[in-house]
Amino acid sequence: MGLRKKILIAFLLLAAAMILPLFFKNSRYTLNLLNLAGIFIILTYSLNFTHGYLGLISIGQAGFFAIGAYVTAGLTMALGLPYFPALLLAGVASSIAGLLIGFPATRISGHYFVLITLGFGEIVRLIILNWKEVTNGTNGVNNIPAPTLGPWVFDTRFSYYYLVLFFVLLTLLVTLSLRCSKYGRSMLALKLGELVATVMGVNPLTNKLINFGLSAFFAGLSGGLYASYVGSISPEPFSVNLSVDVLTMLLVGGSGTIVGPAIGATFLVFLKEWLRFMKEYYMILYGAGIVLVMIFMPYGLVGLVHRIASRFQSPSD
Amino acid sequence: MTALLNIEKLSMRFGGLFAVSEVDLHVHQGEIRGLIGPNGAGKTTILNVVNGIYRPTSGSIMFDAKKITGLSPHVITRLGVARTFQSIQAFQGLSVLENVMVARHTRSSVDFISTLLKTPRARREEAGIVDKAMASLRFVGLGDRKDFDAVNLPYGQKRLMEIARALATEPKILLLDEPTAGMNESETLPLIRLIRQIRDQGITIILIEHNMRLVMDLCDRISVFDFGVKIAEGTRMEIQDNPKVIEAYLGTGDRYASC
Repeated sequence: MGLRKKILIAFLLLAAAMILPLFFKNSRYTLNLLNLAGIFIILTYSLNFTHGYLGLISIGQAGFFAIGAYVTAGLTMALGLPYFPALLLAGVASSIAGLLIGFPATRISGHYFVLITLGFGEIVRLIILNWKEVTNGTNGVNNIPAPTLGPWVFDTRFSYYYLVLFFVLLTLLVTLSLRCSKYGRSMLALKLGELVATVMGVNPLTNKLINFGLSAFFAGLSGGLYASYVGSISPEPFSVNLSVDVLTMLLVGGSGTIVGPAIGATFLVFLKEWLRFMKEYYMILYGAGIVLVMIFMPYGLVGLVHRIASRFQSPSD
Repeated sequence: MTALLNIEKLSMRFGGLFAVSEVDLHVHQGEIRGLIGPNGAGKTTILNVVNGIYRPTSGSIMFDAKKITGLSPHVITRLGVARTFQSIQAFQGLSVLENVMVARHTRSSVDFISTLLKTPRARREEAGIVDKAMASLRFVGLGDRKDFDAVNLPYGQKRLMEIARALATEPKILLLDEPTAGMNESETLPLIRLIRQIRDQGITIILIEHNMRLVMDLCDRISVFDFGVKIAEGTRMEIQDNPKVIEAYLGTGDRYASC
């Protein structure tokens, strides 16, 4: 596919995303799903940095998400900061947490890395649960104000959609920029062969730390968007279940691809809704689906599309 | 004149086994040095220690008048040591050009945020990275393969790509670990020419190789190893007649006779 064609497709998709909510203006239910999908898309891209570019599996993404949510809520409510600086600071706070767990985590690989991230996510949740003076414990934080920017208030599901869309695009642009940069290449090289990459002059430590910082920043950002969207937060949703959900979205969509995370997150947010009639049994189907994806679609939905497309093309050299 | 690479009394032990034992090696600027010896003689281990992949049990390595023992591999690369491996180590899934571009990271300086924002400086640097990587690829004759996925290159070209990648780090010394392994005669001949060209650019070369004709053809001096010990060193004439070398390669007949 030529560059021109790619840009054209990107513009068409953007236009589609811009007019999509117009069709659902009267369906608050669908708008809600779209907004949640958008927030999860950003969270899934945040994990895509770590898994797609370093090949490391993290199941602590909920921890960064929670930090972003609580810091945004705290800064806007307790300190009265405007929303957007608060959101930025929430990303930075989350990023700092990412660097902190990065220091031990960069010296460790494989299963132990996964355990560190699992531990991190649980620690964050337990701190939120027990540090009642700041986080209000299980009662959570309520009445988080809607974001405002000058004359605009993002207090309807319809308007919030465009706020989320803006940040989805930002995340996508950063992903694209990283992929075509020396840092993205170095990270991919570390994923594909850490030892060889190091011998070719790639510093594994700084590249991994940068990656964790970036990943945590966007996870924090999506947490901040989530907090002011739902208006009240409690420790409950920030459990390891959320981290596993995000990992699933990434793997189903296609890790390391440009559009995979967006497809995976959207697909699973809607799938969960469609399977709601099955009550708790949906987990069985959901689980079985994930296993099948892992076995038959190692590169996710995006990989599947590529495979089908290449079957219809004549092999060229 | 002091040597470019000075290895003094280098030992590398794995558990109870000395893979390399008390080895001295002095490689001079502009030289092509061959390391030969039977499998398991410790040749690759020496390269791995020079690269910083292993930390030596004892001994010291001076490179370009700097002590590099114990430094991390990426630091040693930045100081000017490049390397290819015995088995193919391409970054599969990256294009041929990108494979080589990875090696330019060590010679670039623009910070992460500027890179992400694609500031003019970052764009200039990226363009420079592409130019240098392309120059490396053209030098080994792979200019027209730049957009191939590295996986899809034929075997011999993968090896050439790895040499291009190593050269892209702008080394003072290039360590080649069996560059002709698995290559046929028609692929080997151009490689000999290429190695000479690399040396003519002023890059010192250490070459591990089992293809004796190539070693004798190319190397200014040859060091022979057996069981982790250097048993001989000299020009090709000197080592060809060395009885210890002949014994290591052909055996004396009683070497494995134990009872």
